[in-house]
Amino acid sequence: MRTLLWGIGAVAAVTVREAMRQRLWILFLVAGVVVMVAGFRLGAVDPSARLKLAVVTITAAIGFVVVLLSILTGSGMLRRDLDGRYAFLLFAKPLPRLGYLLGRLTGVLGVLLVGIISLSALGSAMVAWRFEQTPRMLDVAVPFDWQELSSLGEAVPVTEGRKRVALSGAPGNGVRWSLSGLPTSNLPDGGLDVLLRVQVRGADAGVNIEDCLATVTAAPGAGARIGERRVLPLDVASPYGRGADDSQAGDGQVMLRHRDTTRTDYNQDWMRLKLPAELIASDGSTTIELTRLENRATVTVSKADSLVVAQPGGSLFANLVRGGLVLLASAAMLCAFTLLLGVVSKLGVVLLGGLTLFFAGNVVWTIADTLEYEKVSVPVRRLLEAAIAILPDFDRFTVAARLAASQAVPWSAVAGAWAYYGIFTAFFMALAGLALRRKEL
Amino acid sequence: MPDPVLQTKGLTKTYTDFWGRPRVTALKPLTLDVMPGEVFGLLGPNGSGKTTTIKLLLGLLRPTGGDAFVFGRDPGDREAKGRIGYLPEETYLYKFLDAEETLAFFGRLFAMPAALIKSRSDELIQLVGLSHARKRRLGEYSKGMARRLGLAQALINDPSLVILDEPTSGLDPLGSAEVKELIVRLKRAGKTVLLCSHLLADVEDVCDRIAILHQGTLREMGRVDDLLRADDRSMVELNAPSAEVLAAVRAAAGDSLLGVAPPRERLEAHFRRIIAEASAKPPEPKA
Repeated sequence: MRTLLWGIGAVAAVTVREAMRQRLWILFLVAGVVVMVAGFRLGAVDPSARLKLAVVTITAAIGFVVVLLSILTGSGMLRRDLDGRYAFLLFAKPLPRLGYLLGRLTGVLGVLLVGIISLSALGSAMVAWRFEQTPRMLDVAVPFDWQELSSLGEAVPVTEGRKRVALSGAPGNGVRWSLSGLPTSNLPDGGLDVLLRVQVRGADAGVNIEDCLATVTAAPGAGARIGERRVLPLDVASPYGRGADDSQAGDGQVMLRHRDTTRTDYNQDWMRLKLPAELIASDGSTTIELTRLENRATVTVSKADSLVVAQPGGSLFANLVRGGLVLLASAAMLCAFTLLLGVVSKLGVVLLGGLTLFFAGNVVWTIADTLEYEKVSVPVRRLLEAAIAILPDFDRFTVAARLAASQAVPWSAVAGAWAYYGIFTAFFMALAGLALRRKEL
Repeated sequence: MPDPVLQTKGLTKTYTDFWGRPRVTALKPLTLDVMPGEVFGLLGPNGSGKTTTIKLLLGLLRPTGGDAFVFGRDPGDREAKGRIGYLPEETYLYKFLDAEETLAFFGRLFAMPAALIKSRSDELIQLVGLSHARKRRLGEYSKGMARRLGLAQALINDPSLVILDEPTSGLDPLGSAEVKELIVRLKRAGKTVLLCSHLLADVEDVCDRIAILHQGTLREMGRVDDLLRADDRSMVELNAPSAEVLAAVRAAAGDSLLGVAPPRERLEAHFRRIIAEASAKPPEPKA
């Protein structure tokens, strides 16, 4: 085991050294220049949109470098070692062949990590310099349960599978959400942020109404044990929620405004209220209620994201790095796949195979969409189902859109990505190890 | 009697095509033992199966038939490999590393501690005469310099068995002589050396025993002295004999005399002497 670990370390170190001496850092430099130029040249309707574009550009630059190098670097070195007969000398030493492959993989990931950190630092600095601020990243908790409230105060559980609730008719009806696992100490000043985004339409067809008075209250605890309910105050910096002329909507009231689901920026598109510490039970649970106060509007509440509770999610740099680590998980899988191909085939096939897997993995969602089309024949359906089952989904962890929407990338997302892509990586590495072990030099 | 360091029993290798059909038999049943402390020469022309034999002994190829043992273990055994130093026929070293980094890399493959790698590297770089180029990348090395470093990497782990495949390939006569001296020193240190070469003079100078392969078949094996001794001839060496003495020798030998001539210095010895003399005194200015 000791020899194995030392061997992996030695091959990983020589991989990093080779990558740097073969001037792979030039690719990082080019990506950095793209980030800088984009930060200053990208046009958009307002500063907020420009900021989003800048963040997307940084993430795209990181993603591009990570994918490209993960496909090219490890497999290129492996083919060079096999074709140039460097492998004679390497495998005459007490270096297990799987250890060699793991060393190459580790080294490539090390190089990519350096690139991710460098580009994240450069991108964050560019954003801070160009926009004189960095986006406020938010880490959100979503409700574990929701109920519909009638005008008489009766609570009815929303059936599983129902994605939205439309509140209309007599006022006084609403929605109740239950949350758990919220932090109870070291909260920011004023408490946690409650973010609310609903769709508002006129109750009568043809009437153009896009706002509706409502109250939002909360009580500590969830389920049967709920404490005293209190109105949640509107955050002074909330993008909306006040009445005409930006005045207070009414005592304990907020003005809901229509926001459709295409708008995804937590800082711009969600009303922000404050959830003080005393409204969170000691077990981290709380119950929040939205009550509609006007019958002239229909308020539609979405299960997925109408209400979230947010807390500061770290700096842009930290989130870019965590986002990069999510991308790195998929890069590890791509690298393992190309190493497998590199053991059994030539470099051209390796590159083609790596790119094919990448592109195929990026269109899994379109395959799923195709399956929903009724006229798909049974054999094609089976084929597509098999493709969905075996193809890694590169769209599973959306980093760029998330970061652009000021949503933090938590460590749990990083762990989830590594768990998901790690299975594929381990599978490809095991196959590559077996193939290399059987290979005669 | 000690156990052999290397042992093959009917070792055979047939290369096959993609479909597993036999293409060429590179090694026909080979049985030999190499004992501890021995310098064993594996001779043969190109394509005779020397390198195939070495690859089989290093576990780089799988035998088609027969068995091979290194220190009594299978050739692929990691513990056995940890006691082997190997110099391949060509120098396959990374060109982006310098001499120190190369030796450190190979030292780490043997799980050697950093301090030991450092001291061994210093010692070996000096031994192979690369002290002046230790920080230069291998891409800038001449073929001979790379060969010397290849030899150093083969010794980084202080191996008990050193396998040298054409060690003097690419070296100038001085370098070749140094390698031969090194092999003799390794033997004195109790190491076992398997020397694979088609330069017969090199082998004759340093090997205890040799095996001659031809087209994958073992043609001859034995002690160098035994194989080369001509029992039906004798050699008489005289120091500055006069014409009379030579005439007397001729007369005494009669019809059995094959020839009388002054002995010739070997070209390698002559070359080394000239270079040594030239190095000892500064060049005289030409008129």
